[in-house]
Amino acid sequence: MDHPDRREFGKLALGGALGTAAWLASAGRGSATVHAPQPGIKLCAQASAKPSDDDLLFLRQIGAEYVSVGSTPDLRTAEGFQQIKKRYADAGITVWNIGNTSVHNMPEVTLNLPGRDRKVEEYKQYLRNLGKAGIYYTTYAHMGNGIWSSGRAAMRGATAREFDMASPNKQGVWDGVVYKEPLSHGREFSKEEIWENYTYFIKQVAPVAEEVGVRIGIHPDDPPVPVLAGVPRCIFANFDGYRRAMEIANSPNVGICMCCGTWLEGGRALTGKDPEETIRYFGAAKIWKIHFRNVSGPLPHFIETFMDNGYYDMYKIMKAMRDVNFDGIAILDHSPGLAGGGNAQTAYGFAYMRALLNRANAEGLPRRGEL
Amino acid sequence: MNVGISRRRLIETAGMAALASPASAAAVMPAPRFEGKDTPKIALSTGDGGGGGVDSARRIRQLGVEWVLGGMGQIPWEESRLKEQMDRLKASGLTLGNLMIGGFNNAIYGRPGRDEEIEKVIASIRAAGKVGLPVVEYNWYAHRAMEGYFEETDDVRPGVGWTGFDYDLVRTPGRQYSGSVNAEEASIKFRDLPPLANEGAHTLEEMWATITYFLKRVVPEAEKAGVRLALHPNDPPAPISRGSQQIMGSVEGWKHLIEIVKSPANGITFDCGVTHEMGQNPVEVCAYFASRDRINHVHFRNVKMKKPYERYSEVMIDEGENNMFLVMKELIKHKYTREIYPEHPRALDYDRDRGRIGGYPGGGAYASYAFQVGYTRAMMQAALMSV
Repeated sequence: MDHPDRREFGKLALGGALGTAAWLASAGRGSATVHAPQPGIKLCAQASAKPSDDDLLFLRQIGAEYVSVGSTPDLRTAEGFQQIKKRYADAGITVWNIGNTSVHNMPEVTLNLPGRDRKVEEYKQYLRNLGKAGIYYTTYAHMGNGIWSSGRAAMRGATAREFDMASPNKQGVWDGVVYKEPLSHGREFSKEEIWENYTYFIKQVAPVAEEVGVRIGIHPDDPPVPVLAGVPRCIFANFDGYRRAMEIANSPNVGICMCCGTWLEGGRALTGKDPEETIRYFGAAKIWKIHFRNVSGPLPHFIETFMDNGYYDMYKIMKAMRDVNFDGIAILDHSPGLAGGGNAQTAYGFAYMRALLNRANAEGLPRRGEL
Repeated sequence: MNVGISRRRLIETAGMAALASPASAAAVMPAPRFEGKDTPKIALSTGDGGGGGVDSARRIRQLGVEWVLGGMGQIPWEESRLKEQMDRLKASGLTLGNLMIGGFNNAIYGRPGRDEEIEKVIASIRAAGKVGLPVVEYNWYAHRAMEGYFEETDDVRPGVGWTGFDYDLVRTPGRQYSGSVNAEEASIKFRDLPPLANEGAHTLEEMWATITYFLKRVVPEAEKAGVRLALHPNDPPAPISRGSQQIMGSVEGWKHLIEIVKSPANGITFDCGVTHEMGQNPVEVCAYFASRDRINHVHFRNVKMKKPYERYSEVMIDEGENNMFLVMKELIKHKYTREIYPEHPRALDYDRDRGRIGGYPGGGAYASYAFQVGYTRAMMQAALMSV
């Protein structure tokens, strides 16, 4: 059943609040491995897979104890991941996740294009490599034609990503490939296809994730426009889509990467719930990573802002995370560039998040074990 | 697949309607959230962006900072020069909210010539009033205890520079200090350093007498001009500084100051860092002065204190012992609307690698200011939501 009836929905919502809904706390196949993190919200910087000594020093100097990193093709093996992990560990920093753009958005998977099974296998191998390297979380995204922008806009003397539905310049980009209107892949796809393709994928990879002890957090479609260039963004662009996708996966190793920026791009009119409500609903049982950023306003036209001058109060997000005992990472997501350099930008954003977290911890409910 | 069509259609229709809304076609860039007429203003000094004027202004504004403070040359200030400086900043999108005034040592020490200096101060304040500068800040030191500062290193974050103060400091080669001592004094503890010939040694009584003389003449004129004075505390608040006592080196002194002339124009710079250096509770001290409307400027920084008045470290804003959120909340609660300066950034290697950093030993530059501003802004937005 795809949509529970009203009574069931109520039960789900209640169960969600208590963390006991079957699929929220899904036990999977009984033998799933989940590596439970230490309690507490972890602030996390985004960093390079090959950091310089100066990079490491800077991170430690601003108090960053966790990083989220990408990977270059040469490092996409268990040994490569271990190498990245060790490099940071030697500096006292924990690598939370290691991305791989080749298996993040996969049009072959999302749109059932030739080569799909090869990509699914590549993904499974990626999971196994992560598990072997002791990296227990990864982010997946189900975008068939990339992340869309229409240009750059001025922002406090810096420039920032802009998206305008009315702009003829809007296009999607992922891993070096550009997607344009009217049709990015030669035809219109139906929502049913996108759902079927998701189901095909997740049913194959979830057992592997469970076996190797890696959790997959699914990132929303950015921007969450219902259809772009013939491809529906019907699953990971609204609350109901996510809820149903979690039911389908029914695995303790499949959850959510809550990109607050994307969610705010949609606004409640498109997503159905705002970031705070979404975090409170899914809770720490399903949300494992938070992308912390803000935008100027909901679609049809937005600019990525600094955290402090978008339309949403970021503290609502931090407070909700604290209240649900979120124990994953909150990353400093992309923000407008500063003339003072990338590190000045990181210093600004990281301190902003630290202040919100300190306040949330000071004012929050007692944590697990503190009662 | 049995898809719940009607419900999904509903969402989709609502979504498409949102996308089609013509009213929202232009993305509007909001100002830093909540910061405005009725809130405090996060401020930086005009030079804190580093580099030249235009670059510095740009770097300041990128942090969402639109208010600045600065210094001005010789007194008396002329209206035309003040206006020129304010207009130049305005053209870069910055509003001048506070200028530091100095150059009246005879008034501080009660020497001949003080009346002329006081006239120049009054003329400067009148000029400030005419150009709409709201706050003029000043100091009242017999001697500033700079020689007690030294560079320390963070005990957790590797290589982060702290500014330490030690009343018993004795210099050892190879460390960074500030202030100057002669060869003979190099082996003497800071607390025992003798008075300087041009400053002399002064008691509290003398210093209260000179500032009282000053305030009785200046505050009424500031009131008339619509300008508020902010006296910065004596920092470091050492009990004795080269033989002199410090009137603004205790909360008791701060309290006495505002009784000398009862006017909101006779106020203080509330520095929660110095408050903790003296072992006092910054929330209580803030409440005392804010409830009397005597806080005319704020310095927002953090400290680890080992012995009140004598041994402490200025640390990163998120690692000290002050609860910065409660301090911010107190300011908001009392409707403080003037500038908050997240001063004294700590040295990060990223900044050290980009050129020599002036100022205090262990002090930092732009990236570190970015950190302080980010932290302060989040505190302020959070406090505005909860008061």
